[in-house]
Amino acid sequence: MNKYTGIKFINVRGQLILFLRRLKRDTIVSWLALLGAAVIFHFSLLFSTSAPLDFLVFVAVLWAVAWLPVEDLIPSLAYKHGVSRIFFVSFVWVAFVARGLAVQSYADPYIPLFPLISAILLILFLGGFPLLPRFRESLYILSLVPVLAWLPRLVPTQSLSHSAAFFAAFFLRTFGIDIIQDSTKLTIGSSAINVAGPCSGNEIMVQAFVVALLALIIFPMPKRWTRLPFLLLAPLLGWIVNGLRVALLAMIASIDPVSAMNDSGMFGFFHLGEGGMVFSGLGIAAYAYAYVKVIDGQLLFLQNGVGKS
Amino acid sequence: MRPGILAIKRIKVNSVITILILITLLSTIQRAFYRRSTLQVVSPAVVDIDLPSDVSLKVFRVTPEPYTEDTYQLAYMIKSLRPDLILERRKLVDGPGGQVALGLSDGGRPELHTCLMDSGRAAVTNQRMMEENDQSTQADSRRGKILMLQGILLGRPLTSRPCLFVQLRLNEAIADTQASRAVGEDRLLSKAWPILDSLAPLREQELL
Repeated sequence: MNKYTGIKFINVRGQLILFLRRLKRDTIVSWLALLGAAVIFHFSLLFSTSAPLDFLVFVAVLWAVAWLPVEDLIPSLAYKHGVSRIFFVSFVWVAFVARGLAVQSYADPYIPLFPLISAILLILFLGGFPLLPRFRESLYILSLVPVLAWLPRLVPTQSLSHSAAFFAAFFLRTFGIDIIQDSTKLTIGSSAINVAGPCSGNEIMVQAFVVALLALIIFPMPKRWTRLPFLLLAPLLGWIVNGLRVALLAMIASIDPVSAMNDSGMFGFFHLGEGGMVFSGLGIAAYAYAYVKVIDGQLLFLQNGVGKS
Repeated sequence: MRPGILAIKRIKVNSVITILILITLLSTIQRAFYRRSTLQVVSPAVVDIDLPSDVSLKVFRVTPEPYTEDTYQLAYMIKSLRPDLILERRKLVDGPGGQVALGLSDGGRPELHTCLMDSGRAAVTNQRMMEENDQSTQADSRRGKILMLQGILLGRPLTSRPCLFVQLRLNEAIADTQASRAVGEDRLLSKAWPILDSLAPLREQELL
């Protein structure tokens, strides 16, 4: 500690040596380091296959949220001896990581399955099958990564594009804007946009649905009958914010047709760029607000009920 | 107990974990240096197809790495000028980047750029684009065998898999007017599909 400035100097080298010693002696610390290495490897796969930004962000969120229950478990964790188990799991781990080196596209099923499989392998390494139930919350959360990756493909995009165009036209007409909707095509003046499959909102809806599932796992609503309606509310909000995004794109196209033709400027930002994330964030924020309000109300109601009784 | 088992028992679990960490981190490093982007000219001797006399053809083997300058340049080259293109009654996918780039080369000759890759596998970086391509090729009974005119999303890498980049050019220069460009492009397009089709064996030889 510097007596004049009060700043505590950290000896990085000393800290590193201490950490390495702990790594050598404490099995749980080294096990956590292996978990960290797995997370880094997963992100290296995502970056090297240039996964879309929204997928990257959601995967980061799911890893982070899955960590929370593990953090609570750490003090009670202990390594259970088992030579054959360690040998077998280590062999599978090496084979599993080696398979990752062959990944060429982010569409490879390996990428969404990696978090769940790696977590299961690490838990088996530490304590075998009896330890799995203790990590069930984290495993549930990590199992949302395949949902995030694969569910958008199952959503029928044609009808969704049509409904997004319908909503955008309805929304703009309420503001007195003269817009013509023909199936998935929206025309304002001489500018037209087509709501193609990728703009149908299937990804935003699935992202909202995943957030709803996450909320159900971490903060389940006390009143069970409210859980399903809230699960369905999330994709509905996703659909609405995507409709608003389409309406905005139609407006930008009418103001600046060149940016719409070249997919540049503001149009490019909301069409191909991070603008989609802004709308996804809006939908999720609205959902989180409603969820917190309702769960607060339910907890208050339960508290009052307990107080009275 | 067998001696082998005894030897394994003597190994501490922390040592095993350390080895696993090292393997995982080494794999991470391998991924970080994942494939350098290259653009190699395929020898004309390998591209052994009958070409119309007024057309010249160059084929490149592209091994892209995401986020490199080469990939972006290629992406811009393939950016479509005509996204709703209809080629031999095949409507090409109307993706943001389009599928085929048509333009004039420096000498005023109409030029077509496209990328040929495996349509039967997860060949592209962008999953949504791949699905659209799948839909566009569903009507074709030779699906999985046909050449795929592959587009890109602007600002995103072309693909994370190798592909054949095809540059087809009319040898005859034209005036840079809308009318003459339209005629020149139609002439080029009328020749393009059979040539791309006949590149199928090369595609399989080079990519699969």
